[in-house]
Amino acid sequence: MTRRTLLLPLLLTALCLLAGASVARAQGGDHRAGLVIRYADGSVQTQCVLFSESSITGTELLTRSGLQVTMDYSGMGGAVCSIAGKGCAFPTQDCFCRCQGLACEYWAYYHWAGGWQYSQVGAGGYKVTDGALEGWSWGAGNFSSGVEPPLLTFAEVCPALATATPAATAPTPPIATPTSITAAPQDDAAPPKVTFETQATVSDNASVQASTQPRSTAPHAPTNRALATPTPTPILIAYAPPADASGMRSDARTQSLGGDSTASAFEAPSRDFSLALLPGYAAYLLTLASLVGAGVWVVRRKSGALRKS
Amino acid sequence: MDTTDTFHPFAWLAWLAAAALPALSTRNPLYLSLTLLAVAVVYAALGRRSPLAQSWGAFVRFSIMLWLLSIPFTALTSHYGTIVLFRLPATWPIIGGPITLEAMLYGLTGGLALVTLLLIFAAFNVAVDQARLLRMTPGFIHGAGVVTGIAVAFVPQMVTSWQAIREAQQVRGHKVRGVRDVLPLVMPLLVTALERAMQLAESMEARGFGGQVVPASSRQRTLNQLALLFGLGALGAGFAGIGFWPEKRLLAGALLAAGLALLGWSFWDQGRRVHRSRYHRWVWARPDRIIAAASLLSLTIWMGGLLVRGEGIFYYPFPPYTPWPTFQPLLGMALVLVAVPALLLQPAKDEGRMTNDET
Repeated sequence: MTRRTLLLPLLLTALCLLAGASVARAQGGDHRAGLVIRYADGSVQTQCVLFSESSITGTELLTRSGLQVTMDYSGMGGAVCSIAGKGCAFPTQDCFCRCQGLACEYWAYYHWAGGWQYSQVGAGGYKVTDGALEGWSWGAGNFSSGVEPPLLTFAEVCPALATATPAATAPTPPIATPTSITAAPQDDAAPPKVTFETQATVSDNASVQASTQPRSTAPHAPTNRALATPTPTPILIAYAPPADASGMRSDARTQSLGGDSTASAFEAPSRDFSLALLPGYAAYLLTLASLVGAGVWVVRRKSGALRKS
Repeated sequence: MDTTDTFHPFAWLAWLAAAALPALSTRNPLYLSLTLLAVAVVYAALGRRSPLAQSWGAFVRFSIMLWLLSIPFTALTSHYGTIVLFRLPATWPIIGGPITLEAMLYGLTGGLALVTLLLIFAAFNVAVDQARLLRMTPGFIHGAGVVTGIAVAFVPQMVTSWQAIREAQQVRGHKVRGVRDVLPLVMPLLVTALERAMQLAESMEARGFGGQVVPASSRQRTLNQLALLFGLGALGAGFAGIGFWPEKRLLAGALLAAGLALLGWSFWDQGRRVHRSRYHRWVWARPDRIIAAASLLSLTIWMGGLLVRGEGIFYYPFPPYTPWPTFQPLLGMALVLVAVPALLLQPAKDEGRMTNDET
């Protein structure tokens, strides 16, 4: 291997490090985008996400909203397999597990442009700007259509008032102001009446265990502040923002991912190093040592035969 | 037995299956590194048994270089993950955004699987050289096997004659300035290649090549063609059934089985008419049996692991899954069995000197 072939990857890495060192991290934000998620049972959840960049991708909007999203990055770009545990448990299941055969149920991506428009671009490629409203809806469809999310406006999802929490100090991850709504769709013709209460959240520096890099965390300990006057329609709290991922202390090996049902919510394993992994790693090192010993023996025998001939 | 003879080719086939299955089915870096090490030990034990074996060294180096290039590629283009190493300006196309550790791990493990597969391929080709591979071709496609064998043997010959022609023309003062100057190089190459092909054809005919195929009657030919047609049609229908009508799994399975049976019968019937005599029989000696048994054991353990707890073998560093890989000692044992041929191989006696006139 010539030195020149090693130079190219080293050059690329050096270039990236130089570029990265000069870029400040984007935090908090004065730009807002709304997120509407319609689940299989018809329940709806909305989030208002703050960001400071001029635009973020649809995937980033999803992840910054604090929901647990599973994506499949093999193939062309990224595909959303499950949101908040509802969907297909990738990678144990296929990302489009409900899309085998003629009937196809999946997470369809919509943009708000007067009405709901089916996205022609994947979530990784679409740029979400300030004031945009994005929708994700689970339902039957094909490559050009799906089940539309309920009709909501940006003002309903992201109320234009100063209840937005102040940006935390750097290096905190961006804050999301979640709003939990449900809608019981009585008829599909008229947009459903929704009531909501805004919850201001404060995100603190999540306790970083093994790594020193900041992570984007889900909102902690929401404090309730009812703002809008409730309408006669009954309120059903269907969904609360999921707890912080590191709060679920499950062994990394016991990833019990549900079967075929879309309603299977899986337990996300802890992403940190746990001591239960140590025996496995010790066994690995032992096996590695035995193989290295075999290799050394083979090489010795070869050179020994050479010396004899 | 000459020193280029390793073990029974069918034992090597079993080894190939046992080594390739982990590389194809997982991206877990622990299992992959063990497989790579085991295959590397076998490759080292094989050494340079034939002049063709040293060309595989360049191939292995090329695959490692490919791996090193693919790591920054994946890390720069996949911006998913929570452990961010650094950020590039988001306005940069494709590579703009957070560069995450998970993406780098994903690229690393994917490249590792690729390098392992290529090394397995190289080791198998060194162990079972072209002549023995050609002999293993089933009877019904013996024509294609012969053509492939000749082509594979001719390529290095063409490379050496190209170099010789270029040197000869350079001595005559020939310089390549334009497209027309390439002609004095290409013409002798074509002529030499054609001459060699004619020589080979004459020598094969003198040895009675082609005479051992019993011609088929028209009825047998029609039967074979019908079986091929219906077999392929049933296979296609079976696969379509599995894809589009998952509730009719039994019917699709029956179609697949029927298609495979028809194809199998057609191939067997065609192969029956090709008589091949053997000069040197392949014997199943004790090392061959040991290697075959170890490979089959490794295969069953790994298949069992895949079927029983598939998600334990899987490795996916992106959230919400963990970037820390897991390790089952039993599967590690199965991977150690892949290194068994290295322990049984006798080192090649003519390791030091290389004979160039061996084809």
